[in-house]
Amino acid sequence: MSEALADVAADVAPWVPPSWDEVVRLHSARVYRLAYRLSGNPQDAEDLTQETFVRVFRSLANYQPGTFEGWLHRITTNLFLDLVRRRQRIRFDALPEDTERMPGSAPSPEQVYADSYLDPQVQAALDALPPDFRVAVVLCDIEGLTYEEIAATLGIKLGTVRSRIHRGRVQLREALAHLAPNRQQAVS
Amino acid sequence: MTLTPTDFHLALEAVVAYVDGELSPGAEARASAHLSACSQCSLDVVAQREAKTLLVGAGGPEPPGTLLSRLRQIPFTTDLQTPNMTLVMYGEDVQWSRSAGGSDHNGTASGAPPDRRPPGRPEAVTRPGSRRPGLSAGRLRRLRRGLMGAMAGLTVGVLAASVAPVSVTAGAATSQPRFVQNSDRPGTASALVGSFEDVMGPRLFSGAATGLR
Repeated sequence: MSEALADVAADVAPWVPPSWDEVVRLHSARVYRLAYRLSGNPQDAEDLTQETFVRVFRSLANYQPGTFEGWLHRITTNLFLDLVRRRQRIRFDALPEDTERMPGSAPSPEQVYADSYLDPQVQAALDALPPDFRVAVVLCDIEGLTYEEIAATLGIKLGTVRSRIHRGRVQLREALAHLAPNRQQAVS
Repeated sequence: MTLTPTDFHLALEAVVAYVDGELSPGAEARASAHLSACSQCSLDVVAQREAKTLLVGAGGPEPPGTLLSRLRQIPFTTDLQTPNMTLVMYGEDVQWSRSAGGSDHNGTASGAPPDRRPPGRPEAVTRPGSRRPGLSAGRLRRLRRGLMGAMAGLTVGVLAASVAPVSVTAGAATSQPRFVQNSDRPGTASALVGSFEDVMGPRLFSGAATGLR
């Protein structure tokens, strides 16, 4: 994916911007996966993916050839954190949930499980993490980013990256330990 | 190097960096030496590895086809919006208009009413964003809903009206000439129009990019 774009940038002197179909084809699965792992549900994952691509579309004219995927990571994670903060505010103000969401094509839990290759227990434990920890852990362990890339993506220091990943993993295990004894009920 | 006292321990940040292979070679050797002698730190390492193993290589569900269609439609359903300005077309006229905040509804003074605009012609074009748009998700959703409705039932020509009603007030630009694009190059407005038409074509962004210059 990234190689294809990087090759284009390397071989052709003036950067040839990809067609929109190419952008969607090459990057939608990755963005959706990240959005899904961060949000933990198909509806938010769709919304986040849609918004990420809207932003990409709007600023692609100014895009400097380089780390396209890093850019996508940054947009997606920032949108996710925005979403979480907005929800926290809304909850705090006791307002109703956002009612303007697009109707999603939510797959059944079985389908999600079959498609997702991640134990629902683990996703549930992931969902229980504070968003800042969750983002760091997901970027590190699922997306395979280096600490430096994570620091750049989130605009935080390396030391903060380390401690968030560490604490995130510790809490993930604790959450799983709580979930594990009653796995059957917890799956819901 | 070979210090192995067990009365001190690896910093937690060193443990996590060790697990992720993010330590420098020297630091990694020192950590290994310590771990060989310290069961407490070794347990921390095991715990970190366990959590990591649960997640590494996790794929994700494929994006649903409906989402992919929506993503492909983005060039047709999204205005290229800068925070405050929208480029609005009325017939052959192209004007910048405030697209957000406190716009007065002066109607469509400078052009034909929305329903008489030539079908198939993009009515609202915005300058390719030079910075991130500051749209809230809620507004994006409203945009999307409005746009989807427009796509379903109306001609593309009505998009402007449904996307951003305030942009229809571009008529106000006649009374507020500073919103007319203030370029000293007379060709710029048409270049932007051209850029949007390019955007609608297969090579999306080359056109949009040149439109910036």
